[in-house]
Amino acid sequence: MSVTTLLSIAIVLPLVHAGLVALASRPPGLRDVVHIVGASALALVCVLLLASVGQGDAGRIVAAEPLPGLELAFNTEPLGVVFAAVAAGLGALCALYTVGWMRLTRDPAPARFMAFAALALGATVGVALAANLFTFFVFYEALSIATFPLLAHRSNAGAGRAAAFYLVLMLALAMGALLPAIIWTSVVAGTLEFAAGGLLSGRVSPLAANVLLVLYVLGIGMAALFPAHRWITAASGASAPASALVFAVTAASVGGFGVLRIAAYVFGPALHDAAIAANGVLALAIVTLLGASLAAFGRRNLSERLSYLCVAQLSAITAGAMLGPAENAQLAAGWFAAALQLIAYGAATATLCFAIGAIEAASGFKDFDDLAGLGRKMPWVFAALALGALSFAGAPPLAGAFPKLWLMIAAADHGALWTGLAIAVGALLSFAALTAPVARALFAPVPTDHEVAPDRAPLLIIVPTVAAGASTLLLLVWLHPITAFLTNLRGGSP
Amino acid sequence: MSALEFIRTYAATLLSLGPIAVGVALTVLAGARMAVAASLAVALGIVGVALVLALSGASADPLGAGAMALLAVVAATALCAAGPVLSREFDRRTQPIALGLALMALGAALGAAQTRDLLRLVIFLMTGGIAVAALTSLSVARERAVAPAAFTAVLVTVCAGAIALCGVGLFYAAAGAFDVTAIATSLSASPGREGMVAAALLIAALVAFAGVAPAHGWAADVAARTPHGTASIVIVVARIAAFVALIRVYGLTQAVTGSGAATAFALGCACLGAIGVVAGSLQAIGASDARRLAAHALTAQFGCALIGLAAGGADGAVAALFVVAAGAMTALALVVGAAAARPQLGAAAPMSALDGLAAQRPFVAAAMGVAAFGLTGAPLTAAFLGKWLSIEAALARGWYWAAAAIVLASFAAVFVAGQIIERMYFRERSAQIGPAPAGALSMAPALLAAVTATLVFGWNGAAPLEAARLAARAMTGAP
Amino acid sequence: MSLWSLGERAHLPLVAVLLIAGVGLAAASRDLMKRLLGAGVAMFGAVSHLVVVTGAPHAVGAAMLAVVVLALAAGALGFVILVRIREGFGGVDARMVRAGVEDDAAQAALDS
Repeated sequence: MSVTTLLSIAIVLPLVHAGLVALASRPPGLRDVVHIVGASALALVCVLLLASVGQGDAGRIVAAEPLPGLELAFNTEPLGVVFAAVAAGLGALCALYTVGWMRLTRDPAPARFMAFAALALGATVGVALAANLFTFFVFYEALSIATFPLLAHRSNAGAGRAAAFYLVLMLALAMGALLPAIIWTSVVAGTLEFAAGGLLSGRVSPLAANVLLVLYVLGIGMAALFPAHRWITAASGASAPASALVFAVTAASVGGFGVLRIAAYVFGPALHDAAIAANGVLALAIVTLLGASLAAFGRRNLSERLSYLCVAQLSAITAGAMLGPAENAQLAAGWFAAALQLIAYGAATATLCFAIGAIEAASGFKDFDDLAGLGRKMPWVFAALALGALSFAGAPPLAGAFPKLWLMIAAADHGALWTGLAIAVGALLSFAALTAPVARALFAPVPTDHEVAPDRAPLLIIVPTVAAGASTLLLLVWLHPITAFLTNLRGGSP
Repeated sequence: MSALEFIRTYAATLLSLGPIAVGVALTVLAGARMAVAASLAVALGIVGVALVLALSGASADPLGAGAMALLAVVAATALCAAGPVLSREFDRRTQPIALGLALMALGAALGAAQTRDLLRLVIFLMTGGIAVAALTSLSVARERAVAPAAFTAVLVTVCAGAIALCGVGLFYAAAGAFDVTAIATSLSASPGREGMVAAALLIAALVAFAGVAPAHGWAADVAARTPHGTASIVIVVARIAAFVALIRVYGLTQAVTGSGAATAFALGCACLGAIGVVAGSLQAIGASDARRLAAHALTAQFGCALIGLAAGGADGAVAALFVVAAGAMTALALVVGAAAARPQLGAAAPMSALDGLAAQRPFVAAAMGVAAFGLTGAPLTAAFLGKWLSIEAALARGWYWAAAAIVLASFAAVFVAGQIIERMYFRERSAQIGPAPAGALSMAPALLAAVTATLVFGWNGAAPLEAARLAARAMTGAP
Repeated sequence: MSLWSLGERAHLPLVAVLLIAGVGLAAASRDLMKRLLGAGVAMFGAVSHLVVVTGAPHAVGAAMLAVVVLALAAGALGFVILVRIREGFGGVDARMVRAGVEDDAAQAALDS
């Protein structure tokens, strides 16, 4: 199959998937099969796309041209394809998990959730494969809207409020900052097409570059930089499949990806012209990282604690994107670190969301204090939780270790030792915040008043959780091909 | 002369004077049943003429493609205007009068949008204004607050008409003609102060007719206070027609090249736009009535269009026409949706009438949802492209403040749209408001047309943009 | 000097005065009747200006007639509405009418 065909399928498939799920809302068996098959097919298409691009194929399709020169176009740029494959792969696991969860909790409207999950996945793939800033913006907005019903799915007032806050914040920031930045870029550069050398490089004054960078970073609210991080922490009460989809697979990851995409493909070397803004954003990212890691300690609720750690991990992506290539260095270590962190973040966050959701669904426990001894009753789930936690903390050989290493290299390249130090401290804080509950679950004695049936979580929940946990080992086997694959991002040989 | 040729030659007359004549006849003579039949016939006639023009190549037509973009809207609206009458918004005696007035207003709007003669323009605008005021005043018996709104509409019509006539007179004194092209030629040959004063007067009058900020209060009042749907729909069309005329007259001020006056007009126009964008958006947030909200949203769109018009230079009219067409779709969908959401015919449409609409009238709610997203300028809606053009023009000209005003309006629009969607999809309808009435099928064509246009033109703006370009060319007399 | 040429010479300042006074009265007067009167004055100024400027040739005769008819129609409509306002609000004082409208709106909000 040609690359362009695969691209077209990757864009259209989620729409078909959503439509079919909505049509086949009854009987439940058919609906669930459609959902799992749809998500798996998308993952397969994205992996095939990755394979073709790996063999040197390239393609570009134009879906529409709303105004002359303003195209809704997609291409097979390596970073985008990698992100699409990771998101779609995790999306397939999410689909399995969603089916298990909906059956376990006897959800009243699973078809609606699944349809919007398919749309959110589609929008994420659209953002990943976007060939230009306009397409990026369109799918970014679509994602904001598609993920809103997912977050609001739990029908309590808190979830509704958090979802409404999320939607208004995302739309307002995108309309108020991202869109003007994109139009300004179009006026200054005369094009919106992502370019490996940065579409703004050599075309923009330092003042405009600084203002534009601030507008872009502000506009991508999904990246959850302080103070926009509140959307993640406020939405921590969402159901487990929603958290996994929104925090790990779609919105939050898209936030990180977006900042990296803008830094590397819109600014490129022009990031040096915007040094003041870049350093400011870097400092803000580090503050967010440390602040969120510290704040996580204050939360006894596992989901809340996880949400703060997600914010911390995401800000590491932004930090990497802002570090970029050091002047006179051959290597864009910062961007490469950010790309790796994106993969590691997705895998680990999905694992943690799945595991915490499974614990809550099976035992009803939400708090840190309730976990004592539970690990022996739910060994698979807690094993996955441990893997996710260790990956967050950057323990080798798990995925989270490699980006932290590269981030430190990037910081050293820039002579920004404080950044390296902050990343190390952040990793330690993550380790302490998540391994403590795991240790408590695995090693503390079981309280006598606990009446928990051993591992009531069904197979459809355990299998994706364990698979996601295993995926945190992904980079161990995949690091070499990915290093070769992202050469244009890396800027040279290591 | 074949029928087709006849239609092409007399399209302008057919489109404007036709509905007006039928309207007058209905007002004076007809019975209820005949009124409905006549209105449907006129609506079909408008669609027919539009189709003939479109198929036979509107660009070569003396009519200019100017009205083309508006035709679809107006035809659908005329159909829709028949609807509330069908569903007995008025008693049998008032029905033909209401329909006649609506047709007069629509015909006048079509005339105002396409005429190149400034004196006729003023006549059309006054006819439309008086028809709107009379249509509004028909429901005075139901709600006394209607009377002051209708009275203000009369005052605005007469005063703006007087100012416009003075402007037209000064143009005649300066150029010896009423025709736009002749005036433009004369002004560019011998620019004088008289011409500029005339343009300023005429623009001021058109600002009032169109309800452009800061003279937008009366339009919102009329739209919100009249308890019947027809008037609130007709006023959207009347305002747009006046705005199209404003674009035409603004073109005259730019015909004088190389003088400070053109720049001053551009800057003044952009300032008016910025005021409109900000005022309209902020007032839309605080609106207590769904149709008032739509009226303010249209004011904001006008502001956006004015910024595009002033900043865009030669392409300004294209951008402005595109923004206005997109804004018209949005406003129309909101107004028709609000009219459909009212608990009973002939009642006001407070915001609470939208509560839980999605459960009761899913299609109306979906259409309003699309309009609400259009309001925010969400991508793949026509309004997004309009906003894009305006911001791009403002940035290219270095008017960052104007771009910032549009951005601020987008912020505000997110809250407005969020409020609409939250009410429709996340609230229960309170028992006091009562259920939304069973579907008035006659509203469907207008709603469908508005939403389809919003989405289709958002997906591919090339066709309407080309139409706008032709229209702008025809309006300003450029080759 | 004929009356016509005198009018031609003096008409611009006169028209300006009529327009400003009329529109000012229509916008700011407390008495709604005076507002209508102001609008009428402005319209009178405008029409006479047009007559003087064009010399009222036959070509624009129909248009002038239309303008005059429209102005009269607007005046009549305004007057009829004024009568209804007086019936509805018990007077034609602008502030009183506004207060009445606000009362109605508050009452409606209370009801819903």
